[in-house]
Order: sequence, then C-alpha cells, then structure tokens
Amino acid sequence: MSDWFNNLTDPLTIQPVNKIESPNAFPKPLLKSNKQLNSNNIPQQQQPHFQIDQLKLSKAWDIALAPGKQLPMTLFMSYMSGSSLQLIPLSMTFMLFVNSINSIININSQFNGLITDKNKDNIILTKFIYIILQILTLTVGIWKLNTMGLIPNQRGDWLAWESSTKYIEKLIII
Amino acid sequence: MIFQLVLLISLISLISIPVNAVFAGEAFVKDWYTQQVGSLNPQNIHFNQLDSSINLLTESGVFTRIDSNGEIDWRLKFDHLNISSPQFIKTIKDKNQQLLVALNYNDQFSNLQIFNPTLGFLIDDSVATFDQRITFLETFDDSILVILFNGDVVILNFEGEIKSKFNLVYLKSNDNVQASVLNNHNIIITYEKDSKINYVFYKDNTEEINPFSFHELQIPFDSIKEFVGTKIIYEENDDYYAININKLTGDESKPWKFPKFDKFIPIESSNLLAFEKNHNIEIYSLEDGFIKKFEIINVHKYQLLFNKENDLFTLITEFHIRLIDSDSGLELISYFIGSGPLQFDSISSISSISNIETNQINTILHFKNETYKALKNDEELWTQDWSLSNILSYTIVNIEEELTFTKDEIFYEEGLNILDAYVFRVKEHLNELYEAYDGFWEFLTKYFEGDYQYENSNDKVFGFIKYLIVGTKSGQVSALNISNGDKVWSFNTDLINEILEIENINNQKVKVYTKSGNVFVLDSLTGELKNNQRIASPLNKVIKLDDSSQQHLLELESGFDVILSENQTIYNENIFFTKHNEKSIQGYRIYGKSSFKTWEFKVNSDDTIVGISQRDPDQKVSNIGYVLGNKDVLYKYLYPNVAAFGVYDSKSSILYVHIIDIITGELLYSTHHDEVVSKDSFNIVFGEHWVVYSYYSKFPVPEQKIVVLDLFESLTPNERISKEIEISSFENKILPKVSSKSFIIPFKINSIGLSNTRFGVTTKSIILFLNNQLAVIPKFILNSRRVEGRDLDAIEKSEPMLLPYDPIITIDDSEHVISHERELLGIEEIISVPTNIESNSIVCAFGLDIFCTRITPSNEFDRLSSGFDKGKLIISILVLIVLNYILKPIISSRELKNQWIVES
Repeated sequence: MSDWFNNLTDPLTIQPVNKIESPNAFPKPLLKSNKQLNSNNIPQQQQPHFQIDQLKLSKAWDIALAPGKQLPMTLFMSYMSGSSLQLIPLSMTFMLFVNSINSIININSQFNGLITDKNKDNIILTKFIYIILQILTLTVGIWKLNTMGLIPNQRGDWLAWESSTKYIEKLIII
Repeated sequence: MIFQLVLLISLISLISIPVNAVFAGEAFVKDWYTQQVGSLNPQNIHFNQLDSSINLLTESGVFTRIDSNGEIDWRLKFDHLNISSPQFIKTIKDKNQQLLVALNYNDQFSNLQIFNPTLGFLIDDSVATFDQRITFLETFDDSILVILFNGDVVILNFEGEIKSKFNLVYLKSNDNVQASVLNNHNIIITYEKDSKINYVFYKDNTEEINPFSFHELQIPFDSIKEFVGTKIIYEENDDYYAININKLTGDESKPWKFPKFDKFIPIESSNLLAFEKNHNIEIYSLEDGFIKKFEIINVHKYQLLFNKENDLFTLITEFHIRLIDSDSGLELISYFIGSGPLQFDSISSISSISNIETNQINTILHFKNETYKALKNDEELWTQDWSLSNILSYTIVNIEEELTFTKDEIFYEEGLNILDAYVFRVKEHLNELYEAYDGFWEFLTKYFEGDYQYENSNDKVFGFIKYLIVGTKSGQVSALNISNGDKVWSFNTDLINEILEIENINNQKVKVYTKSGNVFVLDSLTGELKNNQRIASPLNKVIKLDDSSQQHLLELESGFDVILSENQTIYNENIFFTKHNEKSIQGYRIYGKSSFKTWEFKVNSDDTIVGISQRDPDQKVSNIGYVLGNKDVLYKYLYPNVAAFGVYDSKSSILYVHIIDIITGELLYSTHHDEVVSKDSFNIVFGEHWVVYSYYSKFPVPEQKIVVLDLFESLTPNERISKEIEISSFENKILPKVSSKSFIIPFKINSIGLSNTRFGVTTKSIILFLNNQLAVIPKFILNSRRVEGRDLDAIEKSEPMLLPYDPIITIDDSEHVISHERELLGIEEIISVPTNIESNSIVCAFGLDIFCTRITPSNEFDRLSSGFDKGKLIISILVLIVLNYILKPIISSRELKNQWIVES
C-alpha cells in the first residue's frame, strides 16, 4: 500500500511527531507512532472503520443540510429581487427550480460514496432531509413565481377561458 | 455542398423577409385635412377689388376671407346659428370697408358685430343684440335698418345707438318681410297680410304725428316677383305688372302691364326693369313712365347683373363679360373669357362687381357641384372645390391584400380546441413561409430580367389603404384616399340634398341610395356607374338587414318596408331595431316582410331627448371581466342590446341619463344631474361596458363636465351572474351595477367618438372634438374606479392603469391633441376604422372640414420601432451561420483526436 493511499484513506496515519521528551518518571506517551500503533494489540482496522462511518455520516449530514443553510439567503435574495418580470429575477427563479430538481434527481450520486453497511439507515434519513430541504427551496421558487404573478391561481388568470352569454335576437343599428 | 448553399440562401431570405416587414413610422404616418367653407350664399359675398379677395358668410355659418389665389386666409365659424333664418354681411362704406355681420342664433336672439375684412379681427363684438330673430337688415349711409321677428323696426347707427324704433304689429311673426330704404331715407316695407301684398311707407324727418301710412294691394303675395327700391313686380294670369311707389308720398302707381316677353330678368335696380324677348334683352325705365331705354340684342345663354354702386349692367355670356351703361346701353368694356364656353347649365349662381375707373370686373361663379371659380376680368384667378362639406352619408372601402389571417380564418380557429388551433396556426405560418420562399425566387428572376419594380406594399398589407367614400348635400359622391386625402374619383348624381345612404358591397361596389328612389351602383375603385336602379320613393332611411341575403329595410313616410333580395328569400328571423326623435324612442321588430312597433318610450312635453348612443352589438370584446390588482375579476355588463340617452327637462334645466334595453324597452338604469345644464351641450357614446357623456353645466359653477358610467354585473369581485349559454334577450334579467365618476375638462366638447380596433384588445380611447381641435383621451383616465382622497394601496397599484382620482382632465398638446396645429371647424361626426394592425386605428372626423389621422391608443405594441436595427440582426444571424460552418469541422476533428489519446 503506498503512502498516499494511506494518507488519503486513513487520516490518523498522518503522524504527530513527538519531539518533546516527557519528564522522567512520567508514563509512556499515549500516542505512539503509526508503526508502534500497528504493532499493538488493538485489532487492526477497527478504529479507523468506525471513525470513517462516523465521518461519512457527518459528511452526509453536511450535504443534506447544505440546502437548508442556503435557504435564508435564497429567501432574502428572492425577496430583494422584487416581483417585476425582468431577466435577472426570472433567471434566478429558473435556477432555483433547475438546481433543486437536478439535485433531487441526482441524489444518489451525491450520497454514493458515503454509504456503508452500517450507516445505511442513517444515510436514508439524511437523503430524506435533503429532499425535504430541496423541496423547501422549490417552494421558495414557487412563492417567488407567485409574487411575480406567474402562477395562474386566481380568477383573473382563467378569465380568457370564460365566454360571455350569447343572445339569440339580432339587432340592427339605425 | 451546393445543397447546403441553397439551404443557406433560402434560410437567410426566409429570416430577412419577416424582419423586413414591419416598421413603425413606415406604414402610415400621414394625417391630412381639407378646409371647407360650406355652400356659398350669393347674398353674402363681399368683394375687395383692390386685392381681388372676397369675404364670404356661407350657409354653414363660416365667415371667411379667400385671397386672390383661392386660399383660405382665415375662417371663423359661428355655432348655434339658426339655419332656417337668414344671416347677413354688409359693407360699412364710411368705415374703411369694415363688415357688419348680423347673425340669428338658435335661442331666438340675434347679434350685430363688426369685423375687419382683411385680418378677420373682431372690431365690435356687439353693436346691438336683440332677443328676436332678424328678418331683414339693410345698411344705408351711417345707419342700419333692422326688422325683427316681433315686428320691431329699429334704425341704429354703427355705434349701436338707436336712432328710431317703432313696432309694426302687422309684421309680427312674419318672415316674408322685405324693405327698401330710398335715397331720401323714406322706407318701404312690404309684408304679407291675408295672403295679399301690403306695405308700410315710413316718412323720415317728417313733422307729421304719424309718419306711417299703410297700404294694401289687391294682389296675392305669392305673385310678387321682385321688390327693389320703389318697384314691385308681380305676375297675374301669366302677365307681368310693375307698380312704382312714389318715394315722397308712398302712394302706388297704377300697374303697368309688361309687353309680351319670353323671360323676366330680375335686376337689383329700383328704377329699371328687364326682360328677354326674342333673344334680346329689353330694358325699361320706370321713372319716366315705363319707357323702353335700350335693347341688348342677340343673347342666348347669359346672366344679367345690375351694380347698384355705379349703375352699370354686367352681362356674362358664354364667351364674354361685358359692362353696359344703364343709361345709354353702350358697351363700356368687353372681356373675352376662356378657351371654351361657360357651362351655364352647371352654374348655380353668379356674383360680380365692377369698377369703371379701373376697368376691373370681379366675378365668382358658383357651380352646382359646389366648385367655385373666380375671375378677374378675363383672367381665371382660381378654382376651388368645396363640395366636401355637408356630408350626408359615408362608407369605408378597404383596398388591401389580406396576407395575414382573414376574419373567417380567425373565427374558424377560435372554434377549434387548443391543440387543433395550434396546428392550424402553424400550418398557416408554414404556408406563408412557403409563399415567401416562392416569392423570393420570383423576385430573383424578375430582378435579373430587369422587370422588378420596388413598391412599398406595407400600407396595403397593413390595411392602411382605404377609401373614404362620401355623399354630399350637393349630390356628389367622392372617394378620398384615407391615407393622404387625394380625391380618387367623383361621381355626380345631380340630385341635390337627396343622398340617403352609401353602402359598401364586399369592397367591390358601392350602392348610393337617394330620397327619390334612385339607386346608383358604382365601382369602388373607379367610380364608374355600373347600374342604376329604382326602388320605392320617397324614403327617409335605408338599412341593410343582412350581409349575405342583401335585404334592406326602407323607412317610408308611411312606415317601414322590407325590400327582399333578388332571390326573394324571406328572412325568417326576428330582427329588432329602434327609431327615435326628440320626444320618443320606439322599438320595432321585423319578421319576414313586416315590421311591428313593440314598445315606445315617451318623454313629457317639457322634456327633450338630447342625445342617444346605442351599444354596437357586434363590438369585439377581448375580455369579459375587468381584472383587479389581486387578479380578482369584476365581470363586465356585456348585454349587447342596450342604448343610453339623455333627456333634458326644459323647465328645471336638469339632465337625466337613462340606459334602456332596446329589445324589451325596459329601463335598466337612470341618473340625473341637479345642475342647470345647457341643452345643446349633451354628447354621449356607449362603449364596451361603459357610457361616457358630456354636458356643459351653467350653474352652480359653469364647467364642461364629462361623466363615465362603468357597468358591471356585480361590484363584488369574482361574482358572475350571467351564464355561458345562449339565451333569448327576453330572459335577460340582469341589471347593471354602475360605478361612476365625473370629471371636468377645461374645453368645450362639441362631439364625441370612440376608437375601434380590429380585435378590441387595444385600450379604447374617447375622441373628443374640442374647440377646433381633436383630442384623444384613453379610457383608463375616464375610469370610475379611480381612487379618491388617498394614495393607491399595494393591490391597487398593481391594477392596470389605475390612477388616483383627479377631477380635472388636462389636455396635453403633444399627448392628447391629434389634430396637431390644424384648426378644424364644424366637426359633427367622428369615426374610427380598424386597420390590420391591432394597435393602429384610423380616425376620420368630418362635418365641415374633413380630417383623417391614425391613433395608437396603447402605443405601437405590435410593431417594431423605427430604431430597430434590422441590419445588425441580419449580420448577427449571418455571422452565427458562418461561425457554425467554421466551428463544425474544428470540433469534429478535435473529437476524433480525443479518440486517439491513450491515457497512461
């Protein structure tokens, strides 16, 4: 196994170098060098794996909560950009929709590397939260569209489909 | 490669053709107008011999100066004149040739004014005002003799000081009063009493207690042929007699019987009389006991005029104008006129003035077709065509290529479901593209063969080329190009004041209906007479019932009659119409060949119907509701069979406005204005779901007011009462809910029109004829929902075009006035004609003048602005296409290279 692989997969192999000697009669240092650790009785790979699961999970939470962290900013931006039908607010709203829907579609690829046998269930939870937060972002987009008057949810939006009463009698103007 | 090149060229041409098509400011930027003066009254011509100009007071109440080139120098129009009474202009000799204008107004009052004849300045706005009509007016020396309708005879000077005034009860309520002031200032006034000629002799400066002597002649009044100075000429049993009244005593001479003659010639001389015998004119003198003075021999077609100023005869014959001394009969001057003979048959009147010192004769020929010719001696100064005033009927003929959708296609498309309609529309556009592609090759062939001629067909395509065909009082039918005012053709029916209706038949032919029952069928493009028919006469009105079957409704004096089409198909459908006069509105129903009166709305004896406007039942409505700021809907009241009218109560001067169902006769809405309203000032127009009317309020505050009534089904948003079904009008039980606002306009409104566009999408505008100007006010300014007394809230701000209420409507010269610097007079009718471009509408206004322009009530939303850079657009497209051809091989080679790269 090459060093770079170890360095990447097992961050603990990056060694703290004990250069400062402890005073005498002090017990032996807790941390030992990597090699010493490996030579100890601790079962190999167990501690890194446990930590990796934890870390993967926390990474998954990070990913899942990221849209939530952006949400206040999105709301603020949407509010500030006004309700006029102009290019920038329109493209911003469009991006809100495209990004959220894309993210939901590509959810598996986002979490792919993070799933292990042990954290499977928790990852599903994070996915769920992620989707909810993306839907919340979408909702902001819908709210934005509504403020722009682009959602036909009022009587006036469907007026063109209404027709007037027809009267049979024919009238001429003198 | 060749295929790609062809594809490229055709692509460019297909792109560039639509881009090349529409530019604002290219298609129709013209407005035009013709100045008219109205029909000439030969009594009211004033010649200025020095500069060969004339002053006229025409039948239309226009006081004007025409310069020696025939141009109108200035015009004044007197409104509210009583057209059945005479109006007068007289020269004031002492006062630098100023003009005295005496006018009879509608409200039974009259006024004398003095004008400067050259500049048109008013010198004295009221020399005298009378609360009676003037029946006779004459000026002499420094005095004016006025005879009023109530029998008052007033002699006053030009400062308005009354020198003497007396009432002759016999003249009361008598229009047949003539007077002559003799040179000793005695006055003879003739009038009608018991159908006999009577006259009063008034002695001036007499010591007698009673200066009047009354005389009755045992001669029927109708037989009087001429009364000038002291001579009265009358006809009895085909013989003519002359009586001379003694200018000192007022006693009449014995009648002198004319010798046998062929034709009597009236001349404005008090002591001469003239008649024609064997083509010779014989002149007799009254003073010396009816002796023959001289003869003018061998005349055939002529006009003999007498000039009182210099006692000279002017004789106008087919080829000459001559001055003849009235004493000796000697010919003093003779001018040979023109290349061809004067057409006496087409002349309606001739007026002339002569000056022997300068040898100058000025003549105005007034032709029956309302053209005027001015002559100075033998020289023609000008010829003017003023026949276009007094328009009796009109129609619009479209001269256009329908390249875009026709009306039928649009109706067809609207009947389809969304998907089919979309497919239909795409197919139509593809067809158009294909035609454009064909056109491109056609153009190429023509271009290289040298046959190609560039023509700007935009005007035709966009429906701006139309003919306004008008029928005038003088019997002329004229076609005017609506885009530049050119007279394209003209047809003379030779029927004065008879044209009733001009009907457009498929833009190919026009049918001219006349009162005598003659129907002229003319070609729309050339004016050529195609056919001459006769129908029942006399009739007052002709109304087309149905486009397809060509049936007509005639209003005869006895009632209504339906004329069936040539194929005699009876129209078995109920048709309704209304008729109205000052006192009532009547509803009628036609079924088959008969018509029945169904209802009548009568007003009280004190009341008068002052104006009525019927909603156009075929009006295009783009939206059945009015959308508020929060997108709630107020449903418009779109019941088509309604009319609005104003009733003026002359007792209280209150104005009532009613809205009536014209099929059932039910009153749908009524309102009134508790103000003192001027009766003649009411104007009304019924738009889509609203009524706009204007009136002049005299009390409490004199203001011109304009009121809008918006009719809704309900004033609660989103509440719709009508159903989407087809029902009979008799089942319509919905009353309008009215929201209204009134405004003040700082101008007098003389008439109101309404803008009209092709699909009814563009904002409606109200076109107003103000003082000599035409102005357009968008409907959103006259909106009853305008918020009063506070600022708009957030929802109201998003309501389209809603403004806070401002009671005064300001007329901005650049924004609202569409007649620009032109001065329009006497506009009575304002029409609006749609073009093929929805945003544009052509507006024509006529009455006395004719003015046409185009308006864009919602701006040019469907046209590219002239600033649109088509060159850049075409270049960008070309660059993109070329780039595409360059980049394509580069990219494909890169992709190929990428395939060969081996990752290590």
